[in-house]
Amino acid sequence: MARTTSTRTVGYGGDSGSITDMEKADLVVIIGSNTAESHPVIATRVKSSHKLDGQKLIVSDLRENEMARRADLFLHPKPGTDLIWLSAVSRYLLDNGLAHTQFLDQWVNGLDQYRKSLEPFTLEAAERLTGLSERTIRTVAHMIAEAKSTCILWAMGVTQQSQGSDTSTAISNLLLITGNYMRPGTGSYPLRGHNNVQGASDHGSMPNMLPGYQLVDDPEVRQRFETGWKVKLPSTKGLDNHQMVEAIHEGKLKAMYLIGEEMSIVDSNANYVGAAFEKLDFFVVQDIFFSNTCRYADVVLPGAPSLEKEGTFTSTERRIQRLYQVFEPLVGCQPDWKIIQDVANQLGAGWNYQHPSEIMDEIASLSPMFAGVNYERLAGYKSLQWPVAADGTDEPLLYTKRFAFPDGKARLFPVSWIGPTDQPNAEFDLHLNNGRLLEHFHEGNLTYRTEGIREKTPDTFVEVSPELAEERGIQSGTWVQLISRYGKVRVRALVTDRVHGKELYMPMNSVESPVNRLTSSHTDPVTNTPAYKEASVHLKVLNEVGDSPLPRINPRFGHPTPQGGVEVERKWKRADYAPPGNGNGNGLVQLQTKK
Amino acid sequence: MVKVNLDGVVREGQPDELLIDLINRAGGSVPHVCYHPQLGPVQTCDTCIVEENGRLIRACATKVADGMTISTKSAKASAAQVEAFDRILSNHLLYCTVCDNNNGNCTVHNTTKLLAIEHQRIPFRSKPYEVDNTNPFYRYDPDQCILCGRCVEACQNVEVNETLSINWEDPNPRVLWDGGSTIGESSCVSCGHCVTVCPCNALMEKSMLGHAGFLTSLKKSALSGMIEVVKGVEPETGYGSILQVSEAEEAMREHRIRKTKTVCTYCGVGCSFDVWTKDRHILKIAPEHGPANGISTCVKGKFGWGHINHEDRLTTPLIREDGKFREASWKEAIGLVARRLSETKAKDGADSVAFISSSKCTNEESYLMQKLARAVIGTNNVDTYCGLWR
Repeated sequence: MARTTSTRTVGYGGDSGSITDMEKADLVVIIGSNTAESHPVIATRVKSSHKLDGQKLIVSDLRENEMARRADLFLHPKPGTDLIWLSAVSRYLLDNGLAHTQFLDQWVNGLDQYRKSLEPFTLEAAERLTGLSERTIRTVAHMIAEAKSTCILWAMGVTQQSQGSDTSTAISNLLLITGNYMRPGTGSYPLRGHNNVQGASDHGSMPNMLPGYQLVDDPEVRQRFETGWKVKLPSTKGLDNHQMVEAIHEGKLKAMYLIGEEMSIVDSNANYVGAAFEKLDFFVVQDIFFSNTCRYADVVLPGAPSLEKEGTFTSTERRIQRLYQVFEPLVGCQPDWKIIQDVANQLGAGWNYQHPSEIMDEIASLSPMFAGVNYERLAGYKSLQWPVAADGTDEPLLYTKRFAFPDGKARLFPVSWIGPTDQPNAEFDLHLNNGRLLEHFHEGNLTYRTEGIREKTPDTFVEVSPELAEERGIQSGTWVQLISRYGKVRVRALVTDRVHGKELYMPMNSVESPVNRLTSSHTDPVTNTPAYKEASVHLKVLNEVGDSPLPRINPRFGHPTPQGGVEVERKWKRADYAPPGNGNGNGLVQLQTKK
Repeated sequence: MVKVNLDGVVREGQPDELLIDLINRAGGSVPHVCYHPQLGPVQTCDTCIVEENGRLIRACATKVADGMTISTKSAKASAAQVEAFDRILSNHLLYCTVCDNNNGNCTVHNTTKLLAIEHQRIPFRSKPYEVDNTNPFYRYDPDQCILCGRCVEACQNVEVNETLSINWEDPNPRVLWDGGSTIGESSCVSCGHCVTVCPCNALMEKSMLGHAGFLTSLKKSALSGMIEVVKGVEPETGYGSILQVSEAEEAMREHRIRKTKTVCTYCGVGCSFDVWTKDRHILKIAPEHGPANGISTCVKGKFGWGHINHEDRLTTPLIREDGKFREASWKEAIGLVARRLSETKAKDGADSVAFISSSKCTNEESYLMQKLARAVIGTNNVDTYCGLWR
């Protein structure tokens, strides 16, 4: 997703800077990201800069999450309309001479065409379509124009929309016209969800790219890999995972080998995916638990979790880090790299990797982007942020000298608004948003196995606004059935003012009642990312009230006590306190020591 | 560049550098209990007091200035350091040998040794509060709490969950959650920052308790007895010899506790930390040096490792036969996978086979998976599930 976007505008597919840039920024804008729960440690840096250093914060979200509550300005646009207010802000800045013209002249192509594409995005149109007032949109524009440096962070609330990539592009366009690239404290940050989402695409688990984002249909690239691997390689783009599911239904795809993903639950329109797996002639699933997806398998292979193997992960800030083996694999399990090698060798490949470091050496030899990566440079807590030159120089902040296009200039990329799919109507009258919870990872296959987490956050739920709860006679603990155009789930309600009006929120932490049974197969046409966030449902109140789905010991029921810190001045004011060493300290005498 | 005369030697400091950092860089031995470089000056412990031109200042709260003359060892400074630390010991029992925090990195233990404390003058005073065990992952022992406030600083200004505070005006100050709730019913999100930065055993991971030491799993009555014995001999022998015993025990721990760096397996932030283990038991997650996270973690990274040794782990390949799974050897399973993939390729072409790599696997594993697809089977049908989660 973000790859497509940033390759459209600035060149590389990754965060343009580092977490330290988010910390330093004068203004942080968060769009469609529940950062405090989905990327908690990044959130701490923003919260801290906001609390202590005067950093400004704008949050755009449907839900009043923690970051929204802390924000200087919270925007609650109509679902799926971020592209509109972003483009309206850009247009307003250009129209009112608030854009960074020197930066545009020196570093950016395509301004004329871009300006033209912004014509529909007047403040009036934006107010009508987003529900945000003209004044609010102007305030956003002025906050960005006045900030010395701006970072924009976004996540699945943007990307899991049918126009996710266009909205990401609109973000990058806005950063370009305000000169918010190339400097510390600026840039675009499409936050990566899983620990190694970035690394998986970096290393060629993509149907159109070989490792290091090298196109499979580029003859020169292919030749390099063919020489390195001593085989002939296919030259046509393969299927992405969404197309794979379609191809199974069409009878074109017969066999699949899947590692470590609970695709039958967390995939959008989960029913449709499960039905596809049933049609496969042969299905291999490699995992550490017997996941729901394993039920469809012909062969299940027991892999090893992160603590039982060596290797590297690449985080959202393009940071490559080593993990060392903490435990031997449980008896009977094997690190996944060994299993893949065994399968390859059984097929006659003749691989002979003794350690993951040898695999990394091969990657470095074939991918200019990772030319200087090796295990020695990653020893202990050392890390590298790609691209890494052969001499080991890395780039914590991208584009400091030029953008990653042949002429060194960035490109404004015009986008237009089409509108979301799966809209509410009379029957499916509520908007259903969904996402992660702090305590659980995804569906919870890993995290439910920690007893303390299960104790504090035992189940999923659907968040219902106080207004809607009142209207429908719902209280926390009421069982409801959510019915969408694609499926239904039974779940308990949690009444909270984190959601407003007719917008619901359901976290994805359930194998039994997965929210993605309700979502559609609509995708972003550019990336085929599912529009998970576009779902409409009918809510049926069931005649059954249970306990609140969140127990009283869940931290959401607590009452924080914000203060400046430890507030040592209050200690110093105590009658029995005197600074030590001044002889008047509470009759203290000095200790006996051997010194 | 700033020049500072430190104990008679001219040292170069950076503008805006804290004096305590300069002293530490220069290899000095000024005690400091509450100061932590990632928290900044907390100024509660008073142990880093040094003398500057005749006046006493806290080295943690002072920025270096050109021409400063600092004595860390003058009689006045040393007396103040020791006096400050004596106040700390009145809040803490030194039962190091039977303490799960006796792992070489206990700030209170190490400061006792650094200052060569033999006897404390202010006697230990128990605080009128019970141990709080209500959080599933960690516990707070007010009696061992030295009120340094590191935990409060971490919660208020690093994690910014703003749950912890200290009631300084109370006759018996302690750390409070939500101003006086139990930990279990507070807004605490169990991120672990407070436990990570605690300089002693007041805040401990429950996974450490009774597991880290050789004698710490003894029954409570036996432990109390041993603590009484130590207290009994202290007036005669002094802390020096008592610490020698605990250091012998600590040395034994070094042989059985392993510390291994890993990178978190949950979200995309890229937190890294040491995993402390004893056999297959995870003692604790110790974050400090991670380039992305430093001392920071969330509940999943700090405490969410129950899946590793869970009884539900798959430990043998499974093959479907007549609609049911049966256990199989690796040889049989790998053989079957290879045979069926080849047959499918032979019958319907390479593009009738597809591969989905994991966004949780390593870079090297993703690389091998796509190499298997492209170079061995001959298809570009390879993606990650995370294709859906970019």
